Amino acid sequence: MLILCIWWAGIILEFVLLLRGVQGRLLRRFPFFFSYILFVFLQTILLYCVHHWNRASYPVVYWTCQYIALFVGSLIVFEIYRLALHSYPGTSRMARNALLFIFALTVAKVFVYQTNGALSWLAHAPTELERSVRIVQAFSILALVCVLLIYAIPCSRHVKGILAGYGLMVATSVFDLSLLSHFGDSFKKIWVYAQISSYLFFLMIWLYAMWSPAPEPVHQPEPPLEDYSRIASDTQQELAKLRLGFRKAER
Amino acid sequence: MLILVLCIIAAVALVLALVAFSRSRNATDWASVSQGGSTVRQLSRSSFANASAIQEAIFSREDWEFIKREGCPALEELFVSERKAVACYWLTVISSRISAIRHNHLKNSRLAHNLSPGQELRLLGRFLYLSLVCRVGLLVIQLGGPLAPANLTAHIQRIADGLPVARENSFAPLREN
Repeated sequence: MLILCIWWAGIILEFVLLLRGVQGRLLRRFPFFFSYILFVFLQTILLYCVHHWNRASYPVVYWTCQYIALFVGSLIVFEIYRLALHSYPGTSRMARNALLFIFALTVAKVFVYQTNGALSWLAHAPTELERSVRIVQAFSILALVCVLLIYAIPCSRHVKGILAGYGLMVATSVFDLSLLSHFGDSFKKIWVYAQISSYLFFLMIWLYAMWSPAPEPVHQPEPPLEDYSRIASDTQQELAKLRLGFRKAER
Repeated sequence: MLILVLCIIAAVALVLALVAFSRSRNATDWASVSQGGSTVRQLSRSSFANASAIQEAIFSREDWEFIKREGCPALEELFVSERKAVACYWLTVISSRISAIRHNHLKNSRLAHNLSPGQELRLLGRFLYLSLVCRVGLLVIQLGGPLAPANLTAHIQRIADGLPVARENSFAPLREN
């Protein structure tokens, strides 16, 4: 009964979020985010129907939908990257390099598994596969957030809300799936409740972010740009003076 | 078990980063960030109009010997606490200047089309090193007793005098020093 209530609450919140997207003309600005919400909304209804009328095929439908949702969800990270960094080519380049580094690590890890002949577990352990994808997502979001923080990129409340909600969802998934794969079936019942109820929380974060009429940060006209090597050498000179002073102080 | 721990660490790191991101202020607030956030006790700026003269007056060994001759423990305690406060003040100023240089660099480099990630990482290392030196300096001042900060702050005074002034208008309060 409780799980049905949470399920219905999720459907209602997703519907309200979609309505807000239409009413606030946010669909054009955040196409991937609202595609994701629409997909999860339809997925929830489909899973509800399958759960009621054809319970035997529920796991297959669930995992198929889950993998599609994972792919669509990854596009949200791309959307935030596009929205937040399009005016900042330097930061965009740093973020690209960080994401490439994470991608290279992932490819290397998969390559190691493949050469060990251990790739067959993917077909048998869907939770393991989801956890691996979630970990890659988690590191991608972490890299993006670090770059946004270090370079103090101004973000609207909408973008912050989307990133916070999705990032927390990924972090919770990594946490839950790790416990599930470690403790096995004994944790499964808690996992089901934790997953569904935490999703309600993320929906509320998104609703709160989307409901706030926060204006986009105003991009003031920037001064003419210097060459990066000039900027870096200026900074190095200023730092060198500081270091020289510290060396004197150490003596 | 190791994988479980690593995954949990990754999840917690992401949550912490997101919390920091949600609470972060936009670029327009950089100036206020560079000025605020210090937990060190600072003396009022108006009392440091002529920093060199005050440094000579307060940090001279003669003053300390004079205070000791008075044989008043309360006075000695006040003297030591004031000396520490001044030394901490100067380190805080240097720390603020490092922040100002860093913010100035990031503000310019985030717009540069030909940014070099390797160079950025090297500069980040330098910023971290200098910030660490400031922290260690503060620790030395707190632990070093009444005479140790005197020499150190004298050096710090010379460093502060030779520092470049931050170029951006947003760091105007630092120019007052």
